[in-house]
Amino acid sequence: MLSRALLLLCFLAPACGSPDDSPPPVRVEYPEGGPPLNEHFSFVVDLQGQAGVLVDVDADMPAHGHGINTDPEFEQLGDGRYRVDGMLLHMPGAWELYFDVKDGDSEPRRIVVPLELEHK
Amino acid sequence: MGDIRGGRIAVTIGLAAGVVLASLTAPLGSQEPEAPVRLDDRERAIALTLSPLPALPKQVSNRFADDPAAARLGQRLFYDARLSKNGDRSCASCHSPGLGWSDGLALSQGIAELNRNSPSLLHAGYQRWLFWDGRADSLWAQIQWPLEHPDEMGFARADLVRLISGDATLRREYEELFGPLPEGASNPDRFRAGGRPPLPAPVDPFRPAPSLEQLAEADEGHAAWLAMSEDDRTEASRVLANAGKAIEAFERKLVPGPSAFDRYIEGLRDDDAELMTAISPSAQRGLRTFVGKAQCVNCHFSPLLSGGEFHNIGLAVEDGQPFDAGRPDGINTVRVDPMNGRGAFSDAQEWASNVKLRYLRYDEHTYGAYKAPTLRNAAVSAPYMHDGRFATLEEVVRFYVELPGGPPIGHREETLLPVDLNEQEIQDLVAFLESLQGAPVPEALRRPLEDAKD
Repeated sequence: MLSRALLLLCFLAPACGSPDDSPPPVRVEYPEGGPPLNEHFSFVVDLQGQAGVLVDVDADMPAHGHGINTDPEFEQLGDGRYRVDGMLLHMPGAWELYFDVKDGDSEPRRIVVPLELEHK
Repeated sequence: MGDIRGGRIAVTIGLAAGVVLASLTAPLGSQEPEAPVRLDDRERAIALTLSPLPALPKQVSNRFADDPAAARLGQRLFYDARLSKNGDRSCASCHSPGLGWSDGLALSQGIAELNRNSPSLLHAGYQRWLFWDGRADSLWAQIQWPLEHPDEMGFARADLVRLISGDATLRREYEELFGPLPEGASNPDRFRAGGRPPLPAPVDPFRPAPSLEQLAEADEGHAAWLAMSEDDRTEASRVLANAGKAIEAFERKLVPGPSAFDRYIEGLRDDDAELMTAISPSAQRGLRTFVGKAQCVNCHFSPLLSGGEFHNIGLAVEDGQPFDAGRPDGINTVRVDPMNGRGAFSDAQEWASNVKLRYLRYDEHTYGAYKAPTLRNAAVSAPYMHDGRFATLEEVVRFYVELPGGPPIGHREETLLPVDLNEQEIQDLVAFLESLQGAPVPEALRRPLEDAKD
């Protein structure tokens, strides 16, 4: 159901370090119309085959020095896809979505997806 | 006012003061341009998102929120000073229709002086959170604080039960909406004078909350509450919640008509030059500054001109001012409030419908953050800020121009930097803010109902 309601929007995570050790991109599927401004919303993130499991979802406005005011929850949909609920981007501007992926006993690695949220 | 000035270069207070002095020699009105102010594509695109105001959001925890009969009962209760310990304070005392549905005071005056400014009730039905710290998640849940706080109205839910029971009009209208009052509603041995529970308070992990028995030793109202049966306590709370839901239904009607600014935006959208004259060239320039150079719109966005969330703008703590943590206390209070949208008296029992509580995050970085108020009708609800420290909109604008130092609580948001506005730009911003004043709410809502009581 959810996937049919989602508009597929793909963002490539920026490289963390050299291109060789960059994590593979994740794909974020936002609701139709894109991520809403200042409304709770759900979306799907697809790890696109990379190793590990999603252990945390967060977001931040680095230039403002603050993050989000919600604790999003997520659940596995299978095949490296997760449904994320409870995201709320409460201001327009430059956001970063964070997806922490843990593979085995290693420290989670953070995949950063930039997002410019426009006035709506 | 907003609190983000992304990418602005800091201006010293001395420079800003110099601008003020220079302006004293130049009359402001003499250089007023006649032609409509041109907005660039980005400014225009943002401006178009600021109007019109949409319909009220659905209120899932109150199934009576848009019930006219509930609003009628709510109006009776709103103006009724019998809902106070001294018979002198009503909701309208701090939310007076003639004072922008606020009270015109820096700090509100209940039975005693309070430590925060009374927010306007205009557009209250649009708010996600209530109070400057957002410690209530609905207007009906909010009502317990002013009603029962000893410094505000000093009333009690047990007294409310007996008051409604003893007033034929209130009783009839209440029971038509919510069903019978509890058995023994008029019995002072059941619903004891002054009987009220402690107000919800943040959980302190280092100091267990005192028991009701401990609190009852120092507070007659809590002692009366302790003496009531558990069933009667529940019923008294239900009556309070229902009365609150009726008052919320009334307060949701407090939406002004379109403002001059709304007419201007209609003209901007339709390229109608005549409609665009609805606001002065000065106000148009102020709009351009608001969405552009000053970036006020980062926090005061959308048709409400507020995101309704919480921001630390770095207001200095003034001498003698009590510590006020702001949002963290609000978060920790709304979570434990029995009247919240997840509680026994909410009409929204579905977990999924309580998203704002379900996903609410506690964040210590919100220390010193207060809710960004709507700017619609701000011109008629002075003074400003959570503690009413600024008497005029111009003072508010000058605060953002200069961002004076001083010890704040918490951490000012990092993109909030002084913004280089000259004297004309300051006056233009004020003119823009004044253009946001909508047509008054209907006269019939601005006074107690006049029909005869039974």
